[in-house]
Amino acid sequence: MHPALEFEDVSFSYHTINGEVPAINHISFTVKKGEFISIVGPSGCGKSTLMSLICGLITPESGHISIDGMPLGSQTSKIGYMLQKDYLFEWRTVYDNVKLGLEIHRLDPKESNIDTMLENYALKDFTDAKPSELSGGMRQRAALIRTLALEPEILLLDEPFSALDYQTRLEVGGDIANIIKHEHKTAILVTHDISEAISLSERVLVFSARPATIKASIDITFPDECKTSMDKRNSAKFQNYFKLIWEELTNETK
Amino acid sequence: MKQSNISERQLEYINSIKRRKIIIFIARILIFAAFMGLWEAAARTSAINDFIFSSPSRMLDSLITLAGDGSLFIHIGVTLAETILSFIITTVLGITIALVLWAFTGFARVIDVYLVILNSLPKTALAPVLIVWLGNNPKTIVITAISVAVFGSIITLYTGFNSMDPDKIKLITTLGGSRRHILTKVLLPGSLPLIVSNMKVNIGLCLVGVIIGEFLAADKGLGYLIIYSSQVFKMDYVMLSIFVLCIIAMGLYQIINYLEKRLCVENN
Repeated sequence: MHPALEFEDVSFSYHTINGEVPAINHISFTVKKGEFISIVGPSGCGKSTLMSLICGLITPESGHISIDGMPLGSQTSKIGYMLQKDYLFEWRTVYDNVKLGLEIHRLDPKESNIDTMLENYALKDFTDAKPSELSGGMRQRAALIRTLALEPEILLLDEPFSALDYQTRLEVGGDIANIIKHEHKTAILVTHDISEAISLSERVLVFSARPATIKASIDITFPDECKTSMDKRNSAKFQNYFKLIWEELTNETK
Repeated sequence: MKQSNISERQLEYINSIKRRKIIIFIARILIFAAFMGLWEAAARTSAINDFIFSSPSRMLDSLITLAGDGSLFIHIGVTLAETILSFIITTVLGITIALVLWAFTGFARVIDVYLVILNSLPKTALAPVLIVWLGNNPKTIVITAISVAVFGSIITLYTGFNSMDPDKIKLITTLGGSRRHILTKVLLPGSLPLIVSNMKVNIGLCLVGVIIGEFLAADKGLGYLIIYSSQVFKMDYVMLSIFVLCIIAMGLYQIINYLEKRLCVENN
């Protein structure tokens, strides 16, 4: 079986009048189907560049990216992207926001899974509401459903919780991770929050400062009784992982 | 619905807001009445020469005369028609050209210096040229009005379109949308408040343009009435025309204001 996503020796640089800025330097990694990985690294380390590469907004200068064994480009609809803010449009109802992607692809929302998802994720009663009537967590769920409506294989989460206050962030993080698990999606979360990375994902990739290389790949496993992200945060293993990742990151900056 | 739940403090607060509104309304009326009253009194006591400065009662007499023979309504109708026509053309042109500039960035970079020049140019300077080119007719007046308003409109809208959050564009792109989708799903609906507020500016400027045009090239319209009456020293007609213009300006502005409230309640 092909991995969901494979990076082979990928490099990318930005070009400005003042010179060339290498953002990503010979990166290779694979993500298995159904896996939830996180990428942590110092700010400006090229995490967002990586995301843009995966969803085809930019193309690598060298190396290959393949999705499900196929070279990137032929199947961008397999990628779903969640941005830092929810960007629900105030001039549309929640339902109309959620069907935005379907509308663009001229698909019938009735034949999609959005009604089921709205029901499952407690937004059924708010389909005709304006986004401003929703709480922060509900807004993120709506944004996730908007992304999932196109049935992507891989979800890219680009610090989607960074605009939320701390308490909401803890709740929503767990929520979103559960939904992604429930829908059997492969997910890549970019974050600068180490705790979030540990409590939500199965593997953490630690990136170096610019130009980004992979410093470490740490598998995260918790005993079976730790089900929620809060359980995980309270377990002893959590502290070990935290220390491990912290050391990798601080090593870097020295 | 929750009438019974309203506390005394809340009631007090609501009443104080209502009272304030009434006071503001009365104060506005009083200022108008005082202005008119002083003017009339000054004219009657010969503190000012009412042949030159006119007076409310003389304006009223003129109103009766001009309304009586129907000519006032013709002048108002012509000015209004020209203003509304030039406003519609300005708004459509403004939006269209701003969208074209947004879609073709390279073209926009080339052309924007000319837009800035045309926008800062006092358009009154163009009016005589337009009359020579296009003749003494309503077409000239409409084009003068458009030239007064359209360049500023293009610049405002284009700047607004370009300041759209790039992440909203990213959202559409990552959902598989093209530039057409960015235009129809984000740019136009998101710019509605900007477009309406720009319409407010346009309607005012078009009225200015129409009056300038009528000063120079008309035999009907309030601008013509003002310039003609001042030349034959009928200051009562001049003042009456200005008064009518005030009402027209306020009316047109209020119509757009109403439109804005209707649209932007939906939007926000």
